[in-house]
Amino acid sequence: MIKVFFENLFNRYLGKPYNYISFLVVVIDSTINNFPKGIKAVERVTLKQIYFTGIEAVKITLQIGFFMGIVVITQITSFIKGLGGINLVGKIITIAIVREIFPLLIAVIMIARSGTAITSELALMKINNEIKTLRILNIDPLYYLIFARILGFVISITVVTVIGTATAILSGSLTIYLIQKISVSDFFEYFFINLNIFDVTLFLLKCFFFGIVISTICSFYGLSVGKSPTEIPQVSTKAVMSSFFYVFLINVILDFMVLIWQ
Amino acid sequence: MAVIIELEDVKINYEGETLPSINLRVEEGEIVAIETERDLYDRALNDFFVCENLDFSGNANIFGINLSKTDNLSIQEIRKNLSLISLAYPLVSNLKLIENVYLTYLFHSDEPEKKIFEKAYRIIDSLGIANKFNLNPAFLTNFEKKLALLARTFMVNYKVLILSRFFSDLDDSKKQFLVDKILEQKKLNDKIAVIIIERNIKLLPMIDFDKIIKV
Repeated sequence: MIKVFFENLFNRYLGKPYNYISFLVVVIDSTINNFPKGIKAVERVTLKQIYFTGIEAVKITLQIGFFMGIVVITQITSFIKGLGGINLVGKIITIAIVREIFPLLIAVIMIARSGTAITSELALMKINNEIKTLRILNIDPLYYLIFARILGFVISITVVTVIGTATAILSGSLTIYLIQKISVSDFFEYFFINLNIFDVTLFLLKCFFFGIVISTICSFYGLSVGKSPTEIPQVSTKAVMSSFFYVFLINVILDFMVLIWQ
Repeated sequence: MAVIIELEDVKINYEGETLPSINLRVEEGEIVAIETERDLYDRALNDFFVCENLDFSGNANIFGINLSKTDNLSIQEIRKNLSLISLAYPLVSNLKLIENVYLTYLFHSDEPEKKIFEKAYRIIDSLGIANKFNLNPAFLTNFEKKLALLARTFMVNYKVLILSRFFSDLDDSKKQFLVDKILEQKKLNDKIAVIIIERNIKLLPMIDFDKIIKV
């Protein structure tokens, strides 16, 4: 019964992890076989992906970072101050904001905003025979379309997460200055003293893996569409569900790995 | 003149059906017509010539490559020298007209991008669609899309040009315009063979075919 439940869950909504891994391996293999041929064309697709996923997402990231920073940092600070441990503020903010909340939050925004766009765009291209067209023009779609998207996505999610995190810390520091009268320089002192190589590594690892996972899963579902446009919303839903699941799973795995490493 | 396409008793299996036997021999510089009975036959022939579907029986050679013994490299070689123009292989929807035209050349050449852009612009200018260079395919008419497909082909070197259902739904003046442009291009290299796949070849009286076969 439980086995059937999990089989259904994976088959219908989450997909099998080895499908995504073998898809990524094929994309990497195509890239190795083609590189450096067509690098200028691939560069254009990558830059477009960075524009749509990164640059266009900066505004919403700044807004969310600003408000989340106010809420999270104010709450943490007032709680810690109540316990009389203001020197712990930096440590807890580092863990909460840098390690956990922001990489996940931005990943969720990216799945909803750009992951679905990748899936539906690729699905439409496949239904319109455009993928086939690229093949007959001797342009490997896995290299030209997918590798470029994965690369652009990883770069974008990393930069956007850095921007979101920095905004949250900045807005939080200003808010606690106004409410709790903790000076901004004290706040940053606590923060930077507690920010260590593990935090930065984990932050970057999360950005990297979340980027790879989201772009790979969304591309996989985009190319898995059949012949009918009615399949596009179906594959988009599967891509979103699956991306959420694997992003949260990787988040847990990375946290445990760093815990063991530390 | 050298033989570039040779099909002997070729029966293509496509979407659960088997096409009637095809015998075809195309030499360099020839203009050949293939008159088809059904849409399925057009699609089957398109996919066969560009090696998307190689499920067939009989003997088939393109550029001396036996189609029953192909690998990735030989398929790439065939696709490099054979240019297929059909609305079934459309422009890439998220690229602008000019980007569609120079994409293949940009991908396969090391020339500076500016030079490639200029070459593409000259070609679309000669076809009368330069004013639309910045538009996505969704904003082009069917005729403009056909011109853009033609421009994409003119950007690269090829030995065989296949035009599949390319002249359908066009009035005589537009057909004449396209034929003139194709023949103009052919004059630059008289070894280029042209294969035209159409439902009714009689609707193209302006072309003097070397061979006409029916499928």
